[in-house]
Amino acid sequence: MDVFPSEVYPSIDAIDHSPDGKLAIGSSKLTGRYWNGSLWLFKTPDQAPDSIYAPDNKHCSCCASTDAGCTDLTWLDEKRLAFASDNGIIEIWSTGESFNEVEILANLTGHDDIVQSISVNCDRVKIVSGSLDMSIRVWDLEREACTDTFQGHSDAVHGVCFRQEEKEIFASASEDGSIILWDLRNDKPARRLLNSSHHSAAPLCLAWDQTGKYLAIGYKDGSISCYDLRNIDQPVFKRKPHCRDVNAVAFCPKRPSWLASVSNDCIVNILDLNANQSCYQNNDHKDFVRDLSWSPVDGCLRTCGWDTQIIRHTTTMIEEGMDAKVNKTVALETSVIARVGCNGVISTVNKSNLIE
Amino acid sequence: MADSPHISCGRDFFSVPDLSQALSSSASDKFHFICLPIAHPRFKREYIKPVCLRSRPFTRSDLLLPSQDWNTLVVGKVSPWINTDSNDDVERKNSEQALLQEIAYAVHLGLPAIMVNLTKQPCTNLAALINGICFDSHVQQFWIRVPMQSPANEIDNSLFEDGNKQQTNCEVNNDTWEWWNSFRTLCHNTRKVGLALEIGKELPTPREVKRWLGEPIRTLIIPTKIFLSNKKGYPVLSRPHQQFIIQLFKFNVQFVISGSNKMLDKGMATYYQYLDHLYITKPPLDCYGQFSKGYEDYLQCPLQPLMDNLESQTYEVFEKDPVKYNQYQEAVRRALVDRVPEDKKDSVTTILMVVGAGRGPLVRASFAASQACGRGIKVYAIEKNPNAIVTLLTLKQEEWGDKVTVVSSDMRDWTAPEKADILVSELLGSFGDNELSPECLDGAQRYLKDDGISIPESYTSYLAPLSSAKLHYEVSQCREPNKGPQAPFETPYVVRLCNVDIVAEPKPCFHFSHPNKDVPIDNSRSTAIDFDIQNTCLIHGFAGFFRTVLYKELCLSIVPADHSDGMFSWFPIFFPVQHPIYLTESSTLRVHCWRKVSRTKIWTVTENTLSLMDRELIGRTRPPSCRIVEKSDTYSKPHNYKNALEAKFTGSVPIQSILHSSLALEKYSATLHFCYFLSTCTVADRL
Repeated sequence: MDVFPSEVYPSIDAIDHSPDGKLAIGSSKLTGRYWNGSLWLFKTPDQAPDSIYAPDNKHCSCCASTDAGCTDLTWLDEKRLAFASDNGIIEIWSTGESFNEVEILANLTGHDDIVQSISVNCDRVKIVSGSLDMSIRVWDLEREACTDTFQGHSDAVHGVCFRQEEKEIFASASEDGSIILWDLRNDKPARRLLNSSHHSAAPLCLAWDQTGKYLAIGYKDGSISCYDLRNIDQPVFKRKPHCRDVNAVAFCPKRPSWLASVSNDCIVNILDLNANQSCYQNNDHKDFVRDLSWSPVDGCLRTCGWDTQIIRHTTTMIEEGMDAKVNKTVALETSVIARVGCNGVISTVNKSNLIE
Repeated sequence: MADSPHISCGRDFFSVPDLSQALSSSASDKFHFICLPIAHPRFKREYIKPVCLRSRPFTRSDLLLPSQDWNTLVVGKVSPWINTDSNDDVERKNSEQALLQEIAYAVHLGLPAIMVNLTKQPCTNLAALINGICFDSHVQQFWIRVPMQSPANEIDNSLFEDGNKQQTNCEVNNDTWEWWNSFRTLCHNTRKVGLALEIGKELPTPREVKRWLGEPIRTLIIPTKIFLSNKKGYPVLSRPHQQFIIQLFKFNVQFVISGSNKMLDKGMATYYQYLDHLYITKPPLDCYGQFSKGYEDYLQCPLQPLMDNLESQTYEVFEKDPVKYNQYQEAVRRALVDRVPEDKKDSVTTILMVVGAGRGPLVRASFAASQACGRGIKVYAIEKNPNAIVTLLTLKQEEWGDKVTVVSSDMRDWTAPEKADILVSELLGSFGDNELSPECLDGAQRYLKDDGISIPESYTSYLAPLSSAKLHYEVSQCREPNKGPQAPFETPYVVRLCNVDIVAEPKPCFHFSHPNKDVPIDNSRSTAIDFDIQNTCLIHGFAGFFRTVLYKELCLSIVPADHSDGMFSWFPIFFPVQHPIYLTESSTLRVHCWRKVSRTKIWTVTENTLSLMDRELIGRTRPPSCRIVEKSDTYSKPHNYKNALEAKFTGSVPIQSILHSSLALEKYSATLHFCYFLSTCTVADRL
């Protein structure tokens, strides 16, 4: 196995911004001889969008090969990140002092199947992971060990998410149709919020808003719903902006009413909860869009997918989309597209140069 | 496999970044094969909307391994995201296409088995697709992965504040046996669909576990999370798990270890070593098990010693039985002691007639008994098989001398010079009277003294419903070219029952006692037996046993509850049913059996009652040489059938008369009939 991947593998499965704006992407090889993965870190992803990013350039920091493909990725702090992979292991990576290299700190093993989703809590001590083996595990980062294993679902767990500002509360979404709220302080931590009778399709991903009041859920049939925890029987919001699996949802940290979602129908969609409708749609991705991340620095949205592209949607573009026709789906012209090429070179291309 | 030194165990991988590394690590851990995904488990493919830029192949190339490795070492697993029974049309269509694509590729690779998950209900679409593939392609085998416990039952309810009461999915059936049953029924019980049973931390109730023992289990999947750790840190299993696994060893089952390695310092090899250790240290076969090795679930035609003459080899096998002749000897000894008081033992000679003497083992046993108790006997050995007479006469010349008179005659036709005190016989078949012992002994008892006794005194046949997809399949394969598909189901078989589940306790069916002092003697019988069905099950037929009382409390029995220890002369009998019957728990199955008699034939007839729902049952179960008599009332009198059937039975071909039973399904108010025939004509009659 190469220490350094020769290229960014075709399927970019996870993207996350660190609190100080650095970018990490996890990619996987899903076909071909080897099915492994790679991790790429970028120090300044949003500066100078016209310049060429090369592996040895100062803009791209470092990369590493992983044993298996990536399913989810999250920064723990400015140096460390957690990488959930196809072999059921959660790897903790850390960059060095100079951000030129990245090395593995720990392997959290225990799951019996692919880890679908991970989430870290606000004091960066606990990680929760949900897996295809139907269990949820809570890990303690200081001891690097699993503190709890919960069998609360009767089918694969697709999404887990800690509530903002809460150390002990998280929600989980599963193929069996149920959403469970977990409070680790209780002896009986689980409380089922929703089950399969609330919606016919299975929930795939979840996200909390900044205040922790609202929970957004993306479903397999392309619907998105938003629930207020104080009144769980009625969704605040229910729409069907997509026609395939919703892979990730996230609230915008700068604009709390914006809820972004990405889906297997190759569309990036942003819903405005105040206006109760879609305000932005983008279909520049040519294959499944797998993950999204809002940048804490400048508020732009980056999405990644199986077409090996990372597309950046700036705030201006989104606002322009709001002012555009309300009822039509408008595919906005993106002025910047960052495409990660096969040789590891990230090039920015103007729309006119796009090769279909 | 019962003889192979090690179990066949494979390793299940859910993520295989490097195929050759996975193979080599499994080989070094001593696994025999691996299970790996055919395509990457997360690689969802879209078939409806065109998705550009997917010029990549959908999975690994077949060039990675030589085809021999593909054919012998690799079991392919279908992707977990495929859900062909989804409510959503889009998901369903995509899943169907993906399933067909993956299975087609697996067939291209020549994989020996393809594992498909059956983890939820409904499974109708999946079963239909799999069934279609079995017919259309060269697929070798499907392993349908079914958990023993439904995942909904594995949820830890103590985690929930309200004890998980919110989960009100009453319409979802949590009985995984039902999932498997409906799946394989939709696949027409084909041999290509086998069961890969996955055990969980908790085993279900013993009667639910027992139900699985009648199913065609090809492999047992054992997740690493159910292993416990012993003092030295090696993986071991709990006692209930061990017992279940040991029961499966005799079914030729393969094993698969799945999940991640929980014993990081010990390695995966320790899991295999533990299972192998269980196999090597399993309890050895008892005498009965050793004798019947190789005959498990092997269908044999029942012997008809009255009509046919037994062969030398058959006699030899019977004479090896360690238990039977000891019991006879003891019975004779006790009878002699009871009949001849101590003071008369030197003056009285008991006349003992061995009817159906064969090659003389009962004669020998009688002499041993006589010596043991000091009562003198004079023996007549009557045997109709002229070939066995050769043996008897030789033994008389060489050993017995004048104490034995050998008579070459059918016992029913012989005129005895004097009357006997004791009639000893062993004319019993696996279902007691199915070798026509009552008819023979009735013919012999005319030369029994009025106070004479018969050893055996009486015998009773027993019947129990059983579930065995394997036996049903075996019977269906016994088709003969000129006969219809129902023909193999209309005859009983003698079989060493192995991969079966006997669903209810055997109950007595027909009873005969000797000598029969009734006037006139009527050996026809009619009985109705009720079985309480505790668990939902699928009945493929009935098992028959018998118990005989030789003398007072000395018995021989093949009823499982009190089977004579080590006695292997009789395997149980199996009455198959062409169309398996589905019974729900807490229902009652009523079986009607008749034993019918005529001058030259014994048969039992079952009758079809016309019921509005099941008219077609009549056509399907009609025995080929019976004319169906349609009746409007439930049970017609036996003699009507006799008239109806006798008209057909003319000609020189001896008719096989059968023991048959009818099943009255109280629920459906229909009865199934099938006839089994035994003939009372002997070879001599035919010549």
